[in-house]
Amino acid sequence: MNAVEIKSFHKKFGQRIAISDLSLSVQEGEVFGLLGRNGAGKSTTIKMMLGLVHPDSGSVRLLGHDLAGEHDQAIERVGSLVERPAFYDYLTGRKNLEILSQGIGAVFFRRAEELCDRLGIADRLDDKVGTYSQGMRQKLGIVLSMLPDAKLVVLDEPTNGLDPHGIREVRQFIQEMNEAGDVTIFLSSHLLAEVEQVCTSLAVLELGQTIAQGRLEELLDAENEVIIRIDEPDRVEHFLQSLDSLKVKLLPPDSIQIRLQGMAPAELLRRIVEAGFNVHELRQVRHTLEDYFLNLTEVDGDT
Amino acid sequence: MIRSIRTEFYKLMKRRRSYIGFVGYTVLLLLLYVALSYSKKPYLSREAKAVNLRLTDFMDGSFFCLATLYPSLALLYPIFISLVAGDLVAGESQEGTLRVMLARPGSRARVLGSKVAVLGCYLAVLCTFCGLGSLMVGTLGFGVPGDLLFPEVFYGMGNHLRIIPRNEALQAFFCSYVYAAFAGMVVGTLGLLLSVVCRHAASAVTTTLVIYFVFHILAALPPLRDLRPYFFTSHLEAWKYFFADPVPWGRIVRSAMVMLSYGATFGITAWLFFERKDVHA
Repeated sequence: MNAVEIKSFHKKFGQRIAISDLSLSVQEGEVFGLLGRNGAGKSTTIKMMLGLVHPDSGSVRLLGHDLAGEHDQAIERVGSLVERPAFYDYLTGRKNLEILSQGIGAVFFRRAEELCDRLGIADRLDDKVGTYSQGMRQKLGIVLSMLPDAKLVVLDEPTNGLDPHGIREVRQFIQEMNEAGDVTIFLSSHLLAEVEQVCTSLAVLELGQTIAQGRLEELLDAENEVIIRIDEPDRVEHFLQSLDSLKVKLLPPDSIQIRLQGMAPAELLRRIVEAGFNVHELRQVRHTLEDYFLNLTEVDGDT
Repeated sequence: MIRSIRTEFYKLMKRRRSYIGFVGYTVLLLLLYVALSYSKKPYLSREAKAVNLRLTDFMDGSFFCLATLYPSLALLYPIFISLVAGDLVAGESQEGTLRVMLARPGSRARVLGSKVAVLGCYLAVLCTFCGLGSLMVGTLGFGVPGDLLFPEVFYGMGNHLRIIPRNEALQAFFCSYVYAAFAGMVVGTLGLLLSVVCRHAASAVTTTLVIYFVFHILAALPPLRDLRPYFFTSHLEAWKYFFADPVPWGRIVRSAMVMLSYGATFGITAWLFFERKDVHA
């Protein structure tokens, strides 16, 4: 089952189109990353997913329930941290968790303490939130998103304001929650290295539209490039350009960089050899998510 | 719903701003006590002087309660209501807690409904505090409430100085505060409506007060005198009719109905806006 299923979201603010025909789905148990430049529509998408912003058209199903028709069932086991963590500064951390997550009973408080303990803020639970540092507020916000018993957790920039230790702690926490409790995580972040380490699938937004979506490995593989060292590079370049969908760049004096666009390196090698060329070396260039993201958004931005 | 109301009440009571009203009333009562204690004016009015009714003869708990009524209900009360009502939604929106609340199960109507309920409770508590406070300070400072000297001229109800028996006076005070608590909901729902519409609590509070005082000013302009019955501000002060003899119940009920209509209109509009509100902050 899909934990999140967005169909044809559309939203205009005045004359500006914020989201245009956006559809995406997230399978249960995944850690899903939503990427995009500032103003691409990530936060608006998340807010529409949670019912905070009304879409002009389109629908969303959360954990199998339609948000518009079955709001309470859809949202009941969804936790969220949207933009910055928000609390009542004049109340204690414990009271904030109780009020904002609508949790009651001994089981709830035990779980809340466990989660806070895991993130190292349990000893400050009885202090007023107004006295917390930004990092502690962020961690409390992440704990809040997991309560009372979330099956889908939506995190918008979860590592904002955290130091490197905190970032690692939160990353491990998210992975643990995902693995231990079969919790689906939907997160947006600008820290692409973090997303790459945590996410299993992702979507990239640009100008309110999805420009890429899929499993992380597959998306990066599709962008894979190889560099071959070869005799007669000019003729090989000409030959490769005649093949489907390959992007080729000559690297003088004797190499060529080839974006595979989904073709397996072995298949490429076979074709070159069968065409009668001598290949001296084939080296795979592994792209990071950052390379992938920048390539994708720059190209899209240019068009 | 009960849990939402309890939570809202808890939040309200934990917020320092909620106590401004109580502190304000306490200061007002003490200032009035000092002012009346050290007043050198022997007579309340020319009429009183004509019949040699000295102020000191009637200065007791009852008269002190009367002296506090107008500044409490007509001046300070709308300010305190605006401060709380204007903050109810806009304050949470500003802090970001509104989006956390709305991303949890429960309808928006329930969220707003619990805020309206808490606002009503708050007004009731504020009026009770003010009423009992003035009675207590008046009794401690000027003696047990007795018959009340009521100068009609001060309230635009005639030119007589009437003496209202003690029990009737206490009854009139009680009814005045009950009516004020009820009528205050109109300013409250107006504040709530603006709190839904505005992004900042300060804007909602200020706009509520501006509307309140502009209506007051408009009602005082001679060319607009005919429109006065349609202004909600004209009916906010209908509590004074509980001191009339006989009590004009028809007029009071009519005022209450006008207030109810205004309150319902503001409340329903607030709800409609809130249902469609996009929560960005």
